Amino acid sequence: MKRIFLIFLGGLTLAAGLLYWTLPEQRSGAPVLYWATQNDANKRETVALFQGWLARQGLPPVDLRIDNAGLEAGSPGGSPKVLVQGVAGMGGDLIDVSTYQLEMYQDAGMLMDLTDDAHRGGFSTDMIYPALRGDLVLDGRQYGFPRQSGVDMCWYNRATFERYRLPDPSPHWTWDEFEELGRRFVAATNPPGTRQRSYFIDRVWPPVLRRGLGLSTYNETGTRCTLDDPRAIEVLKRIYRWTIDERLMPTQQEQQALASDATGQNSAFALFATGRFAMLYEGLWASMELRRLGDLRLGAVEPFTAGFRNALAGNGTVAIYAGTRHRAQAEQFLQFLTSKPYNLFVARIGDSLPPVPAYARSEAYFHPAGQRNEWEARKVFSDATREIGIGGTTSPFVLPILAFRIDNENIEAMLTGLISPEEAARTTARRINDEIARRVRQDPKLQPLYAERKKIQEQIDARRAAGRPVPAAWISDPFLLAYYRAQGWLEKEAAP
Amino acid sequence: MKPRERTLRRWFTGMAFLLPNLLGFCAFTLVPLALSFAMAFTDWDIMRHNQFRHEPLHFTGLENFIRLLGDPQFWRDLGNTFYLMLGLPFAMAGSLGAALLLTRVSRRRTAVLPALAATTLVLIASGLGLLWGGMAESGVWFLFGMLAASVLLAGVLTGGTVYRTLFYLPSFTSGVATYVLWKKLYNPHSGPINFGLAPVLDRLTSLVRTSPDAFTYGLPVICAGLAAAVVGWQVRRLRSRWSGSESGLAAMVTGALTLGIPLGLLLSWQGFSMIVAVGVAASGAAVLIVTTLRRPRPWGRARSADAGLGTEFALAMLSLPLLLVLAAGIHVGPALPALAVSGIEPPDWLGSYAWAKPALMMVSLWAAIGSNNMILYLAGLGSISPELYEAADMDGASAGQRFWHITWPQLAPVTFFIGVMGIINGMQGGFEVARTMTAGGPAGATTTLSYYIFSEGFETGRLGYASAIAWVLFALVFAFSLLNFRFGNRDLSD
Amino acid sequence: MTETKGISSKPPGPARGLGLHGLMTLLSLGMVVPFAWMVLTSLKSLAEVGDPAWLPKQALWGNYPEVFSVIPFLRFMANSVVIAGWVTLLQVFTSALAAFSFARLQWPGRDRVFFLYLGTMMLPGLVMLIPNFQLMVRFGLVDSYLGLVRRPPSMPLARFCCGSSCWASRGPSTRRRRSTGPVSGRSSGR
Repeated sequence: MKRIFLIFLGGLTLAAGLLYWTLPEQRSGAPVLYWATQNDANKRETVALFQGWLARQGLPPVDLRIDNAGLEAGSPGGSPKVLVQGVAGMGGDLIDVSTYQLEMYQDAGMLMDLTDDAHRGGFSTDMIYPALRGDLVLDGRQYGFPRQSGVDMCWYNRATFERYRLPDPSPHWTWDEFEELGRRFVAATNPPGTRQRSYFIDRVWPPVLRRGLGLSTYNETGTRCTLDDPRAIEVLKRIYRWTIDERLMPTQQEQQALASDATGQNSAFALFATGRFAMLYEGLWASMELRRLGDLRLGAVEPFTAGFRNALAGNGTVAIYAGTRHRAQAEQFLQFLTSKPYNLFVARIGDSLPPVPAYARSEAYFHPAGQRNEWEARKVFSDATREIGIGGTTSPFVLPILAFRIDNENIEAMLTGLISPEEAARTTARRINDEIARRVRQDPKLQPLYAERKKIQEQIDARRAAGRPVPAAWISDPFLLAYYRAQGWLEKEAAP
Repeated sequence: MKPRERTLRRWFTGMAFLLPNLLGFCAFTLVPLALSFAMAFTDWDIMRHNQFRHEPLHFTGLENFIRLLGDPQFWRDLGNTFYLMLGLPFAMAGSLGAALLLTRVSRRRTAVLPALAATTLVLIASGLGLLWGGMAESGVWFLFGMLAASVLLAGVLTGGTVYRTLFYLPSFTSGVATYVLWKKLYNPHSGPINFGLAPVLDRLTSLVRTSPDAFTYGLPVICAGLAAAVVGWQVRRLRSRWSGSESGLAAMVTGALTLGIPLGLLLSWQGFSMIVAVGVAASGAAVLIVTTLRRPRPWGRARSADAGLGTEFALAMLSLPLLLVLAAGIHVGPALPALAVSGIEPPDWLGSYAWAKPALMMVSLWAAIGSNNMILYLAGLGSISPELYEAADMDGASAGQRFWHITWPQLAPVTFFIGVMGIINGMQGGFEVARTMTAGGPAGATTTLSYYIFSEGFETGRLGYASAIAWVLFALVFAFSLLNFRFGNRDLSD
Repeated sequence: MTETKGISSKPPGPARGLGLHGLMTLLSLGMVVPFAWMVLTSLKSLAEVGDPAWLPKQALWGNYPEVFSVIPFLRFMANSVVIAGWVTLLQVFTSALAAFSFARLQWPGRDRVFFLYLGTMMLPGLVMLIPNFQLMVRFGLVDSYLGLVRRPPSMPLARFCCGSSCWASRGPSTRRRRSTGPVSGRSSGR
């Protein structure tokens, strides 16, 4: 017994020593940087490109490693593990963030303010799409650089459309056109008395539908949630009709079930390829997945709207962790993201659009060799990002993940028939506004900002009521700014 | 002076042995406990109080707890937690059944291990070989046959050890892995469950279409008959236990309510107003109680008002679901012909509000049958003295009598322990399974309290509020455990 | 487990024995089939995963080596083994000492400490999850191997089982010892 115990003790000590000794930090001569991102072939190639770029720049080598252990696919609010590790002082040196996560992590103080270094190092927001600058900038400070940009659009499978004799959707199509096409497709693919196996589209994105009616999640200054607006109720009613009455699209749960793979949406892509989804609502990166499923004849069209044309634009941003010990090297990586080899690489593979807009107009982007079937869609994506892409809406007074969860839960509750659309809209707005009130009360740092924004909001409301234009600087929501501009509600701006 | 010194010496010796453990206990249990208790009274928020932002922490008194009382999510999640715990009696019954069966299987080994290994290997190899060759649909049945044959062979050769191992299989697989697996099994489009259910339901659809009357009238009548039988048996048992002074007033009321609840639910499903449903159910229960109370008690008064409550509770947990199923049968039957017009669909297990919780319960049940509970029951069965059974045989006791009068009472401490642990774990549980399979959805149908604590604490970072929820949960667990120790144990061991 | 013949009155006949084995086989299949389905699915191609058929058209054994290239599987495995090993080792060692102290030694305050231990079994692990995390942060143990080798939630149970079995092996005095506890106090007091 004693001997067994000692053998175990010895063996474990040895094994632990071995494990420690084989940690990358112990073995690598170069500084080891961790990049919290998905571990796929593209990221690995990015790392290789980065190392080549460093060498060409005459910079010392950096051991950049991908850490995907903290990422949870499919959790909408992002990964709690990244947040938890981050606030504990153990984050990755480079962190992949979405718009929503950026605000949350910045709020927690986890992200490094890059404003000054970015100007010096040539990776400031001047380099990227104007519509997407707000994604990286909070309170005038820059917190990252995109490794890719782009919009979500509606992909369609031409083979499926032809099989059921559906006309191509028109370039600026509307809710009614969507409904009409969808009804025809669902009727043709799902004969009565059989179980439904095909849907017209995999999902819709409620904020885009709301924006089509000129409604954002919050008011102009982010001080109040406006989802109890009659327009929000109209959107909810449409979603209910499309999901439950017409069965044009699966519910979120059904969609998750269809995308049965825990690691992503691969099954949705497979179903799209086999014609069980006529359309997919997704970014350009979907083409990489679809490529593996054969030579599909792809079309893409902007999201259907009822009035104001728009598409949700977003960055895949890389931010630098505030607790990093390798700031200089991490910034070199962001610099690398502006470089020609990297942008051409993104342009070629189509993992969304390259961060520097010029490369999304390049030959490498428009006409990738061997992917003739994507040429047309690529142009649509590039144009849409420049013309109708608008970044995500957040409010500094409520955590995006909370707002998202509340919105989502109420939509689900409405779809399961627990509450009416009116109730869902009311509850969503009330709960989000409660959260805003609580947050402002608890966080002294937010109080002056909130008071100031409140005052501006009153002025905006007064001017709007009087039919007078509003200064652009007053509006912090990217969508409402664009909407006001389109409606001619802004004061004359100085020509840039 | 001397004995005092000896006491001190003894204390030091005892402490010395305990110390390594006690240090860990203090560091990882007591200190965090105190900390978390303190945190529950603050506005600790991971966003504002962390490595990078050090803002003053505010003592907020009872604010977190007051907010909790008015938090609809908290009450919803509490309800979900209790709902999911309804699977516990089934799991316990399953474990006991499995343990009983396992002890009945002959434990005589007729062959040595190598022989067993060789046979199994050959079977599996031939199965895989055919798989490789690519058999079409029939290949599945061949595969099942292969599996069954090898399990049977191994079972016979090892005297049942294989069964025990296989029952225990879900317990030594990581929980998350089995949940991911079940998520795929439940998939309404590609999962085998609905794939298997679809033809059955199609059959049912055509049956309903051809003879709607059988379902409109037949099914409810059969269900009503069965329900009447169950109720009758329960009433008779209640009365005889009362007359025999085996149960007190509390047990009587519990038993009567068990019968009243399904009735009330059925009435409300049928469209009667809440008041009517509750009224009818309550008056039914009242009539039962009053008429029973009037019966003579030749053996004198029960020991106390709560005598027999544990047994009654255990039985209620078993008969309540049964009655509910029968009530559902009465209710669903007449609705079936209308449903059959468009085809009866298999449920969207994890996606529908109504089915998500039962789906999770079934997974837990599947995992719990062969778990440690079964092992505990096996140990318990092993320690029952054979003389008791021999004596019962001499008295000519039937199998049922042997079970109810020897096995069940002898296992009472084990049942009690499993039950207490099950309730404690159940109230704290549901996080992993919901996180993996449904992310708490749809519309929060599977969010349990533990899930809520996690999402408050680590998704939105409000550690203070999360701690407050955790302590309220602790208070509930503690109250339940006290109740259990107060009533359950004594009555189960009657 | 020990031999148990007592439960059934007569040894089962061959027919009944075989029936029993058949029943057990069926029940066992209920446990195995989900896993079998998982194994079969693991051999499918990505396109086939959405297909409810049990068997893949062609078994893709290459899916397995792919695991090693997609994630550092061996490293994860080694982490798990080493961490689990240390946890087990320390747990067995300290729990055995503690159980001995509780069961075989007499010292003042022993019962009180024991029930303090038992009481913690009732605490939701979640109560301690948050402060434990904070402590780990404070001591810089987050994201380290050391941080993981700490009290796992099942520890009081292990100690309890160990403790009570030691008690049980003490013979007659055990009974007395146990009957003073709240576990069965009332019933034996009658």
